[in-house]
Amino acid sequence: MNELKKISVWIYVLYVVLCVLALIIIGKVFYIQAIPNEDAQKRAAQFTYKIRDIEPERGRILAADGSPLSTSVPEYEIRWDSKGGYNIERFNSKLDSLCAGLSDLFRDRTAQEYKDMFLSAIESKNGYMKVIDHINYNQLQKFKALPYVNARKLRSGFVINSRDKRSKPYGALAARTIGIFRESNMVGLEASYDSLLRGKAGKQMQQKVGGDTWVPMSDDYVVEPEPGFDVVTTLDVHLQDAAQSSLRHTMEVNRADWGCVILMEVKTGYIKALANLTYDSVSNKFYEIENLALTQSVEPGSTMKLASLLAAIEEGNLDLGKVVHTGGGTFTIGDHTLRDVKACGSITIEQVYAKSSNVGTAMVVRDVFGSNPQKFLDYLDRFGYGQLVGIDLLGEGKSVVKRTTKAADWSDLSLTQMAVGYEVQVTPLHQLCFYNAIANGGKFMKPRLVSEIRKNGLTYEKYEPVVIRENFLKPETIAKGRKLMEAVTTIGTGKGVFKHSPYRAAGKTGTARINENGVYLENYHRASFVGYFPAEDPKYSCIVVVNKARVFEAFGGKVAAPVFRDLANILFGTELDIPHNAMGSDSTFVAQPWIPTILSGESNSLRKAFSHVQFPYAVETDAQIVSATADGSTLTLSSKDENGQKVPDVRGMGLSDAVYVLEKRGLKVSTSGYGKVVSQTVLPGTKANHQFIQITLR
Amino acid sequence: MQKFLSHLKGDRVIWMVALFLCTLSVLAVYSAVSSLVWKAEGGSSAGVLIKHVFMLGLGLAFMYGTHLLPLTVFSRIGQLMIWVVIPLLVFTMFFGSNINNADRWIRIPGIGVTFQTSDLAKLVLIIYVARQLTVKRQMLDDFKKGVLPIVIPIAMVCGLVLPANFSTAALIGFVCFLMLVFGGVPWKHLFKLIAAVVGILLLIIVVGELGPEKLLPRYSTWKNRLVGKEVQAGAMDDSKYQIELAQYAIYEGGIIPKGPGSGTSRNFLPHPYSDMIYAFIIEEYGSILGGALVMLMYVIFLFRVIRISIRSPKYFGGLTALGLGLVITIQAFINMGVAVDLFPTTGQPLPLVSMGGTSIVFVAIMFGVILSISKMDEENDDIEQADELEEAPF
Repeated sequence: MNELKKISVWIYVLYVVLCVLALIIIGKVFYIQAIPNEDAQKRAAQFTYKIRDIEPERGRILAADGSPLSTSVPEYEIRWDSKGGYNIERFNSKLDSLCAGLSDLFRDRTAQEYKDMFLSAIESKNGYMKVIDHINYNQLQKFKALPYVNARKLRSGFVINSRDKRSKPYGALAARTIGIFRESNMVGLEASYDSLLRGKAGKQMQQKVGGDTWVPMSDDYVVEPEPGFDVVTTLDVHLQDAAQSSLRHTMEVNRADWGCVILMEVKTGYIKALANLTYDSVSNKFYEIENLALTQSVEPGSTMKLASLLAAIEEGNLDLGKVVHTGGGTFTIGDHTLRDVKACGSITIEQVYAKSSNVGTAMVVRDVFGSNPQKFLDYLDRFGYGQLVGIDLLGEGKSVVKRTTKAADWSDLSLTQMAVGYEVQVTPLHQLCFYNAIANGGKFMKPRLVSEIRKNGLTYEKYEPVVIRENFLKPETIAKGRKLMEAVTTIGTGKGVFKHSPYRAAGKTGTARINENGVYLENYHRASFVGYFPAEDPKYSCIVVVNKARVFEAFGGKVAAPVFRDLANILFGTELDIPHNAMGSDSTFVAQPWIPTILSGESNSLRKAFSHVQFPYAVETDAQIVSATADGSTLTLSSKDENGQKVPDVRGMGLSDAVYVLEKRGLKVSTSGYGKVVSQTVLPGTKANHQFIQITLR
Repeated sequence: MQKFLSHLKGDRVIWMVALFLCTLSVLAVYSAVSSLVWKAEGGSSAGVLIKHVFMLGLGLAFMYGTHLLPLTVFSRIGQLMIWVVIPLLVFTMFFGSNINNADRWIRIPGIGVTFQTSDLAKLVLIIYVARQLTVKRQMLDDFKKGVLPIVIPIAMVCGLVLPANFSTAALIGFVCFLMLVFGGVPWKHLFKLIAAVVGILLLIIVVGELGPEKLLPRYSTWKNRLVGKEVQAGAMDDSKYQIELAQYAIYEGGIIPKGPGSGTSRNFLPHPYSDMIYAFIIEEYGSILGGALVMLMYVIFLFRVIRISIRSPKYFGGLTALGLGLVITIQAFINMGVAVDLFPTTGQPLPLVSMGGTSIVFVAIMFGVILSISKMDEENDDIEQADELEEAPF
């Protein structure tokens, strides 16, 4: 017998009571949902966790020797949340020593000012007070060792935000080629190699700690970020430095509009230096604001004659000794008259090129191609004109060449105009590539700025030199082409430039008229020089273009070629296997008065240079960077600084040397200006302690 | 399906409720342990989920096995096990694993499984009390001979559970008290018991306030939770913080289901897979599907249990079913009431839903016992079977 049956009413009463409780609970659910609880929301928002993307470390852009041209350095910002999460009594008891420590470390405020700042933040309940910004890693470590901070790892109220700052340790060196890293409109190698430099974002569990600040919950990652690849460029820091300084010099002297220089290794097509400068009339200064060497597709003028004459020589099987009767230096087609600067009379083809005779070139080309101009255009096409050369940098301009004589803008004049470098537009880079191909025995190399991709310091991928065009001319014709260029520097328009050089160079000058808005300017020209050296065994080719020099007789040989010579001089001094000029005399070279102006530099280079010119010198130190002091007939190389722990005196040094020396001491360098160092913010002899140092160049 | 159902004896509705809750449990726990926090702390969500599903499976197996057993077996087990449970509780009190300053768990040697002794105690004590009430139903007027022998084991179990887990002790005590009420203990005796309980509570307060901390290590926690004392900012695991976040999760849930896996509160809500699972379910399934439906399951369950207990041919069966049904339902209400901030914070799992290792198995066994009792009603066993319960004295 089940007695529960008798009292079942009471059990159901209990059941109803419990049902009422259930209803109350459900009612409470709806109540909670109906009325937003701000405290709860705030609290939830405060303790929100999220998987957040962790930016990978961006790869570096390195010079050929591994020096960083563009690198990411972490930078930190410290903020303080006054509203809690820390023990206020402990904070107050340590406040004085903390503030003294902060003042001592950052030196931007007195201890009292720091104290006032904290107290007012507490009063105003500032949850995100900025303590300091833009500090480096070493400063951060010192901050973490301060009183109070060191004992309270997690809940000190301090929030540390880090971000990567992209910096160029060499300042303006090859700045445009290296490029700019930013959210949009990236340029240069930063843009071209972005996909490799970028790396892969990681994922990490982070906790929101207030404002929009997130801190990692642990050092572990959900997905490990993959750092970007390092991109090793072909650029040589020293040559780039020299190229920029030399170009700047010639542009300042000749008051030019814009200019550019490219130095290329003949066999590989690797670009060793690439500099561009544009005049800014507002500040009356020159800046590298565009990669003109790639983008400026302009009428090349006389430098085009190599292509025209080689086409004629190949087609007509001409001999360089063939005489051309240029007569009085004019050549009339229809109502247009071509003129030479100076009448040349009857000269050989070699002289036509060497003296850059427009009339002679036009005659030779018209002689061969007059009956069939299309053939001439086909030659230019074979040489690659009208196509991209495919440099591994974004933004290459295309040369503009007529493809067919049936083109709407083709006229009777076109053949001879094109032969002397008008009615065609070619970028400096493209012109250099063609000259380089002739210097390289007919192998047209793809121009390269990047030779290698590295991961964690190891080679990941190597870009071998690429021949993009060959056999476009018979070997005899190529040899004739080199002869033509050699003639320019021996008997022609480039004769004066390499007069004192202990090596032989070959090339072509150009002094083109400038077409602005359809009208050719009367007084201004575009001076250029393109060529290679040494003439016997071409190792480097180079083009220099200087636009709209505002001086009298701004010829290519006078305005542009010296930049080429400056670079060749350096290469000659540092690369032993370049043959000496059998014809040149060493004595003339030694007589150059620039030796005493050497203030300081790399010991090895200086010694090599002095031995070469047989200048007596004494060495006092085995330091890497030395200063040279001239004393009558001897030079003494002495240590630039006796103690490696001290900040060296870099005044008088060039940019690359100064940065090298300072970074070697662990200093963080920022630079401004161009030229030689005139001042440094940390005085020589100060203890080197990873400080920031700013050097000013002029 | 028909064949499968034919194996299930006993109350079909209770079976449905059990299966519904188990399914919900898999979904909710899976979503909760997929949380980022869980992963960030190095937990493997797959491993944990597999273990939970295994526990549910084990629970269902026990439920099935138990429901096949005849009622007499439970009576015997209750009679014997009470003498195992009490020493076990003593053992737990002194040697149990210390989790959060609460000695609640013991480890079974060899297999590395821990279980909460109070789960076992709950089950055994209720069966035991039902048995005693049945045996002594003629002597209940006599306090010493009738009531006291029943009350002493209750007091012992509650007393041993209490220092580690106040809420479980209170739950067990309350349900046993209800069983005494429905078991026919006269009100004059019940009032004596109430007076004794009030006295003991006063004693606890005195000891907690003035005595050494070691005696009642969790006293301050109870006090804080009951009084709702303001807590220090930033403390991550304090109850006020838990409750606020649970309310936020419920608020976020709204009426329309967001769908499984979409809950965000799991990223900051402490124990979204156990103590706060109700709030988390509401966040993912909304207040109607998640909130009201889950509540309805327990309400239906209790209704069926009451029906079974009243209709049970055996007084012992009826009392056992009623006690177990009440303990499960009230525990569920406590869990839900905590989540909606009606009750002070306490760590009662939601029966058959919360992830909690062996406690699921014990709840499942309770279901099994109830189903076994319902089976007798269904089969309409001969009411006048020999009542062998009469013989055994306390």
